[in-house]
Amino acid sequence: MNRNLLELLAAIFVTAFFVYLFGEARGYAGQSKVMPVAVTGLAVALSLAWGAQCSVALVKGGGAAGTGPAPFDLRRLAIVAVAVVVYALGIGTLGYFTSTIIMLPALSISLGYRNWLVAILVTLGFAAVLYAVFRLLLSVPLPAETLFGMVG
Amino acid sequence: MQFKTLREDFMKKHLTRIAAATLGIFSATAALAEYPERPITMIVAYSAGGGTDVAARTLVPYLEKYLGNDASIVVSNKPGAGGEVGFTTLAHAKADGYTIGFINAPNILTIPIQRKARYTMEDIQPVANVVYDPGAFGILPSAGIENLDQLIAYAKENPGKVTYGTAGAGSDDHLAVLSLEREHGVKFRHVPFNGNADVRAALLGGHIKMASMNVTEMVSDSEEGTVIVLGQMSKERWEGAANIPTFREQGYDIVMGANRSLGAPAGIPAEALEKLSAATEKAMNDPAFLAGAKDQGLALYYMNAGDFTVSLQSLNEGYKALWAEQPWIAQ
Amino acid sequence: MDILANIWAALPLVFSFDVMLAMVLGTTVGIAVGALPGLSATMGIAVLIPLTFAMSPLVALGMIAGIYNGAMYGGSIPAILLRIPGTPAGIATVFDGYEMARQGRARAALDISLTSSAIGSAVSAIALLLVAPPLAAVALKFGPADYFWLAMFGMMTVAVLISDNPAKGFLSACFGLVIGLVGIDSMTGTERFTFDQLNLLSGINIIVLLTGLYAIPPAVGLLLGQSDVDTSRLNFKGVKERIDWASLVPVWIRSSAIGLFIGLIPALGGNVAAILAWNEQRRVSKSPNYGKGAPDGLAAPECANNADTAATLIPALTLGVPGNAVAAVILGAMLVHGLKPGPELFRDNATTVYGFMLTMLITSGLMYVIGKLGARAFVNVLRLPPLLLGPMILALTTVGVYAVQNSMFDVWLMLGFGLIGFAMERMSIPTAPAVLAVILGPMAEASFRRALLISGGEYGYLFSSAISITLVVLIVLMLLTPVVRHIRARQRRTQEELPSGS
Repeated sequence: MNRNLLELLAAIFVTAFFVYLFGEARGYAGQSKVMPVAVTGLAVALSLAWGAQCSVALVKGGGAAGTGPAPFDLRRLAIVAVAVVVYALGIGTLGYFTSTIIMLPALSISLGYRNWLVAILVTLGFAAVLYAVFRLLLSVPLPAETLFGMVG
Repeated sequence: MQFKTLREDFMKKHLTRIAAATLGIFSATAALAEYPERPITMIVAYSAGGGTDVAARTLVPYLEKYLGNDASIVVSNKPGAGGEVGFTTLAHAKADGYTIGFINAPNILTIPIQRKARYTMEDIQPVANVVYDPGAFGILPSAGIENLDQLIAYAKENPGKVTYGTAGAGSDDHLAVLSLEREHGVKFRHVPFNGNADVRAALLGGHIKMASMNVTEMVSDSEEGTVIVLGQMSKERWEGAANIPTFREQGYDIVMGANRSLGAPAGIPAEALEKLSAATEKAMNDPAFLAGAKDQGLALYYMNAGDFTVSLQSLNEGYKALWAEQPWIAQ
Repeated sequence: MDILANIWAALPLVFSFDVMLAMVLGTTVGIAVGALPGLSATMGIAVLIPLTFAMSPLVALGMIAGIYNGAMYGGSIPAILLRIPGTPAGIATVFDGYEMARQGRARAALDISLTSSAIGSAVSAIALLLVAPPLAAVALKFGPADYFWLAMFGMMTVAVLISDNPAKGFLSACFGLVIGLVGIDSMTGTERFTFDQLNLLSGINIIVLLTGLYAIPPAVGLLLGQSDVDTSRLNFKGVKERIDWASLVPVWIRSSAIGLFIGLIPALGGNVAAILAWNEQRRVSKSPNYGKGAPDGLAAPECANNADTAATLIPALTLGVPGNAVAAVILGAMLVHGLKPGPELFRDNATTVYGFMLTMLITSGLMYVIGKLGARAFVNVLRLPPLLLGPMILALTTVGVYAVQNSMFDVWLMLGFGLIGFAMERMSIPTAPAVLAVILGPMAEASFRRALLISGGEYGYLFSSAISITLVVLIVLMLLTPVVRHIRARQRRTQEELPSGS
């Protein structure tokens, strides 16, 4: 998609977001109100300026790609996003180590990594290091492991 | 007295449970008699490494020792929102005696008063009081004020000129000054900071006139002579600061301070409650624990579940009355 | 001399087997904790305190010294290699360090960062040992008005970080300011931007924001096949780049001084020290590629954030005023062992406290040795296939952020910031102003209001101390520099009588 158009949409979204926060900030009592109102007000002005920049560029330059970062594969990004959300949900239900042991190879293989053996070895080694650091050394109370009771 | 009824209540429950067990009706009760049979989680509503956390972790080994049964207690830090995150977790935990926690008054009392909290005091069963750290006022020697009478006189001459630092709006330090203002018709100027360390630094640097803190935090400054402590807000002088007079001795009826205590979700089995309360008492009489507490400068003050419940209730009434008259945070 | 006698008395204790072992362990753990995104020195020390209950005080303190020094350095390793600062103090390291790695000079970058860190730590420890009491007085001199100006002075560096589009740069700063406002306003008790969320009441932890903005986008980049570091060039066996160490000496002197000074002042930390040092170096640097892989741009922040470590202990040990979260935790650990900070500490427990200060010095040397090995191990991690490394970073940041407050909410928040960070990167919005604003914004607001409370609304109070006035002058000078430069350039142009055809 056109980069300038994309940025314009983002600017509109950001403006709306800060306008909402501005409204919220106006309701605060006394001294607590000054800074939030000032900051969100400034942010609204800045995001409007940003939007204006994009609009001008859009009218002038049409669809010039500019010097932005390299384009990427939207499908791959979608896979990453879904994997991250499922992983985070999994931590709460399956436990941290279980989810990690599943997520790590699953994500790399679904993105085209083909060496199963290395993936599994790395996963297990990594999980062992994490276990040593977080459970044994730092004794962080991670969410309980439901599948591998013996690890938790 | 409420304490007595509570105690009788425990006894009654206890007896019925024993009776039930002998009759073999509740098989679970027999297991409960061996409380604790699995690890207990202790929720600390403040960060690891903080004052409450270190005190809790110092107590834990002794609590384990006197609970017997190879008890094991795992400390779990749930910091956030001035303790509300941890208190809420505790209040909503399963009331089986395997989740206990440190509760800190006045925070646990004032939070539901000053905002829509996610727990109420009805959800919490006080177990035992461990630490009571009386409030205290500190002032630089150069100010030429040595006792409360002089402070009040000075404040009356210079209304609203005396700046005092606290660890934040609604803290026990803040409430203490508010009560003094209310009862003696004086007006100070409140300067909230982000914690006691900042208040102390601001006092020592001469940026504020007076610090409202807890006595344990000022006792070494007082011994060094760098700060004059005007008084401590306890009923009797804390033994760690025996030369600092109480407010009451000086004719100011203010008793306020910070409690660090054990609590549990309401409705935990009576046996668990009794065992925990008793084990805490024994732990707090253990010479090794006492030595550790002295090193850390903890102001120990044991109260059993009954006494402590009564004390919390009366504190709660006091804060509610104060709030109704003079809300301490902006609405 | 008294001090030397005390140091002499503490020496044999420090060089006992137990303490040496504790220091080696501590330094190793520290470097690891610093290098792992999401974990910080504060947390590393806090969770180890219960373990030290049974140890003798100096063993415990030696370990703590190692963790503290090691973590400050450790943060630079992933900052250089992966563009992920391991700790907030590593943000400025990313600017030049990562660029050096991209140019295939990772080895040189790691060497510079390690040497600069070790020197910063050593200078700081020596200051702590020899001149702590007079320096400690500085900490108390700073009142609310001074803090306000200091925060404003720090915010000035935002102007440098905003890249070529001011609207985007300042928008990023505003985003940071809003994040800094979230939570209960400690001055009045008002809840701000909390949306009735219990988990937001105490505000957003800087680690959560930093990890989200800085660690997630590179991890996603790896998974999308967009890593721009050429791992094949991270070769330690190849020809060694010659580093002009002599040219870095003035950088170290300047940055150590900045780090020391910032460390002395309570409430500031290594993160501010690093950014100020980087900015100051930018002012004087002769490197044509400053900010794009200049060695002095890497040496300055790394030296400064380590020079901050022992310096924060100066007010902590002598006055009991902890300068930052780490120092507060260290004071907690000392209390467990019956060591109460203040003058009595130096009187009653002189051997232990001088022993502790010596371990701060020794661990800065140990850090150099262990760091050399550690950085090599870390480089090997980079040789992993990107498609495996990406998920590993995700898993690691998740557990690290969870462990800060044992909260799943923070993990979701971190992922949210990750999305924002990714979007900001795609749209060329700089993230550094946001992080700086989160650190300095709340400090500026609270100290401004506190100053006005103390003065009873008199604005004159803001200009009433020598420190305030000095800072204001510095700020004005900084503001005027570009204007003056602009006018001069214009005059030159008119003198040369260039045609004004635009």
